[in-house]
Amino acid sequence: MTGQDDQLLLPRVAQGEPGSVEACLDRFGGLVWSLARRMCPTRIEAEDAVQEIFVEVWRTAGRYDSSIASEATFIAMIARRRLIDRQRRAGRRPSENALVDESTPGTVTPDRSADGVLLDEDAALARSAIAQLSEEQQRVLQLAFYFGQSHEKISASTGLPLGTVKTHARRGLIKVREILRAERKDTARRNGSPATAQEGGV
Amino acid sequence: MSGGIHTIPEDVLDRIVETIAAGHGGQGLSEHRQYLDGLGAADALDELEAAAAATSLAFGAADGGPYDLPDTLRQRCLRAAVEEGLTGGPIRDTADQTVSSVSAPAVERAPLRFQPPVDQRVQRSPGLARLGWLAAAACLVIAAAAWWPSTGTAAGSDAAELRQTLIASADDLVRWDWAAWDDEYAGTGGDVVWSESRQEGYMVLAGLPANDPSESQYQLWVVESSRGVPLETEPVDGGVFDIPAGSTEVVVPIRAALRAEGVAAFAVTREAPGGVVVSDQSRRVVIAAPPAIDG
Repeated sequence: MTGQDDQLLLPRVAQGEPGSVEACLDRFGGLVWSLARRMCPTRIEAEDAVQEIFVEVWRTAGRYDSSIASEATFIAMIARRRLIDRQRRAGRRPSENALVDESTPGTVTPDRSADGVLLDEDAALARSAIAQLSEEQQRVLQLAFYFGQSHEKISASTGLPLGTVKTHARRGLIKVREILRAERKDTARRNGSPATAQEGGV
Repeated sequence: MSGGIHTIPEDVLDRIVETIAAGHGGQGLSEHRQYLDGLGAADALDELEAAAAATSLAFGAADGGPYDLPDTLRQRCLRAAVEEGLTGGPIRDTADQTVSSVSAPAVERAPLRFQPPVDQRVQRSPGLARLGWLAAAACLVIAAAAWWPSTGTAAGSDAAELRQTLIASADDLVRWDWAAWDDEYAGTGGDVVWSESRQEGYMVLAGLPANDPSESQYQLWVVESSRGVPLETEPVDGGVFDIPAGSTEVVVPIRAALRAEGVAAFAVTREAPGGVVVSDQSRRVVIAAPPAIDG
């Protein structure tokens, strides 16, 4: 999606190109390790999760579609599924208690990246979309997609009516999708590629 | 080409959104995919899940940068790639040695070096993190003897009986007293017994304040040594435990996540529920170590 497909790693991994697996670890190891550290209760579990996630990333690298997401987002998507699944299997409810530290952001602002770290392009776009939402909407998005909480649990913990939680989560996620989609269309146009996106917003 | 997300009924979208939030993407969305195919809006599923992942990253879930992938874990992943046949050729570890024919995952046991987050590296002087664990253990001998005159038993506790059995039967038993690691816990007493050969041990903790598990938990750390010299590695996670309200003394079995060898000290910190992978040691509780590591 960046017009730099020649720099993409996952297609190289899918083709079994020597060195691509190591490069993938070098580029995205910190991202996955950070996610695992935050969502696993112990170091051992975090290490197991990282290995599990990367094996799945490498196995499914051929399914990566740069017109849908950045590589970092694709990998974060797999990591998120795996980590939440591990929590579920261990009998722990995904919650904001898991390895949360003081760096957990509250309200998102467009000019403040998490811990001052340079964000992936998709994440930066998502951040700008989230920043346009109310604090209440942001909180629902954070609980739903950062902490993986159910609508019912969010409703219980925030005191918001269930219907409001559902609306915030739905509209917020669609807002992020719209911005990512628009960026993808612009990039495709700049690169002279046929855009895959044709629809408008909701 | 696409019917668009606006063709999807809101109640269906709500279920999709919650499915994604719960980490049930991919196969978990298959029933919705068939339905959305009929609407010409199947692309929306992948896009929404990607948006969820990007949202998670945006909230700081992947502050990738402060936390580098540890070398030992990187090597472990590379070995897994080899074993799974996922590499296109020989791969090399960080020491530039070919690891394409690995038979045993020896690196799994290798302890990780203590790598505090970047903000800690900046704010703390070099070596301070290490000194947090090791210097405290080394200085402990000064105070240890005075804290706890004797330990009683944890009435009605299986752990107390197992502890007594261990004390009576282990040839390599060590028994160290707890000392407060912070003034807040000056009233805490008890001891820890440990048998390395059996990898079995028990903590007796008396006077430790009760905790609310939904707010914080106590976490045990095992500091290892080599020939009596504490290692400059992260301590081994010994698990989390709680002190129930109203209890004056508890016996807690030690369950180290890894085999602990050459134990130099046991330390307890107070952490977020579930414990942490790497403690910032901001809430130190008690520590126990033998006189031998002094100096």
